[in-house]
Amino acid sequence: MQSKWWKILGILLILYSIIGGLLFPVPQLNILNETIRNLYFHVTMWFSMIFLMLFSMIQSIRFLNGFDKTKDTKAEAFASTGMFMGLLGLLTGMVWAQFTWGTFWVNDPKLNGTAVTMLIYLAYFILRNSIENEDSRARVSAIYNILAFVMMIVFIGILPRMTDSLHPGNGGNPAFGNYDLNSNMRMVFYPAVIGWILIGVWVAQLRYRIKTLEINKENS
Amino acid sequence: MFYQVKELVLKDIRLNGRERNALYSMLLYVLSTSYVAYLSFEGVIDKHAWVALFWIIVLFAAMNACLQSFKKELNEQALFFYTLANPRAIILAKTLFNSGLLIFLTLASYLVYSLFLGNPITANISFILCVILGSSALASVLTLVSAIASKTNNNAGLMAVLSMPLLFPLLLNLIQTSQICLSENNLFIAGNQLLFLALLNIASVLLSYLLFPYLWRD
Repeated sequence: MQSKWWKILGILLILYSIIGGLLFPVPQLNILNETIRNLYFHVTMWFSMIFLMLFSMIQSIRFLNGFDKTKDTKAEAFASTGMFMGLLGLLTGMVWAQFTWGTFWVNDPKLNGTAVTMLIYLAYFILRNSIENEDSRARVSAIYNILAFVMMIVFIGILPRMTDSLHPGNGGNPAFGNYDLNSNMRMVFYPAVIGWILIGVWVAQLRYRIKTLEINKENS
Repeated sequence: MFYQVKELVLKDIRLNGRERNALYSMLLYVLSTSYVAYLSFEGVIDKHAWVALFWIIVLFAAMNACLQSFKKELNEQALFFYTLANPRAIILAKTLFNSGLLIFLTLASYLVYSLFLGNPITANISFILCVILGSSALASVLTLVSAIASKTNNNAGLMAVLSMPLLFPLLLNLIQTSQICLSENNLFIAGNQLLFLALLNIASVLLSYLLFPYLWRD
């Protein structure tokens, strides 16, 4: 992870997705119209959040295999970056909802799921702060992190598919994946997803390094 | 392992039988909240509100019941006792015991609640299945969370913060299943939802089975 190429790749992909996302042709759909371009910015946030949370959980599992403290710091860095991405996804989604559904917040299973995901990870940070002993803090929060990730997958993966949702792809709504997301949009969407994941990992890495420096300063 | 689980469950049952005030206080909680609901709705309640209120009462009763599960295990004597047992046996036994307790509590509150507020449920078998699966899922999540919360200083406050968001999909699903049970009288009307509940049960028991040994080793 020391090399530079993936950071440059991330920047390039996001620049491409911003330019391409705002300029390339998109299908003209009722109600959505030009707001469909938000897809490149809203959905990508969720993708990168889920990947960052996945990395966080992997770090937690690796921590439980051998109790290496740096793994726990990494898990926290990934989780907080993923939380930030999720917040951005929520904000972009709220703006999009205002222009298509008419309100900032609707009672939709996906929205409920994401709101509760935020609550779960906030609880994770509260749990971290409420344990004094460093060893047991790392262990307890690693366990909660694994539990939280599994529950999050249930929330935003399985549960919305069992109920009606305003989101595409659920309960009789047309899915982007079926015919709306045409090849033009795919050409921007997938690079944007990869770009945001790379940037997210970069931010998490920076957070991890800052945290490590802080810990070293405290100990010295 | 199975022997240990059996013995530990029996130990919990015996302890609870000896100190019955814990069980009585939970039953009193259910009784008084149902009565408050009866008073505030003046006996006339919408079907959907009935379902929502029922599960909220059950949720808080469950949180109260599971909050104390690891309290006794924290003093030194019990710690020595538990060096004799496998941590996986401990969590399985606790989960089993809490499931039994919660199934009993939920059925009792169903009885009391429908005494005060009437019983609009038509698909009885599905609903009873939903109650049983739902309370054991509640128990298995809450047992692990109370084990996590027992490692912190602020036990009771943190328990609510940690478990509430985790129980949200379960609660949503339970309310949905019960609302299906309101409308039609068919044996397996809510098959998909019940399957989801069963899977959630298996997943949370598996997670506690895998994760608890790390929590225990202090």
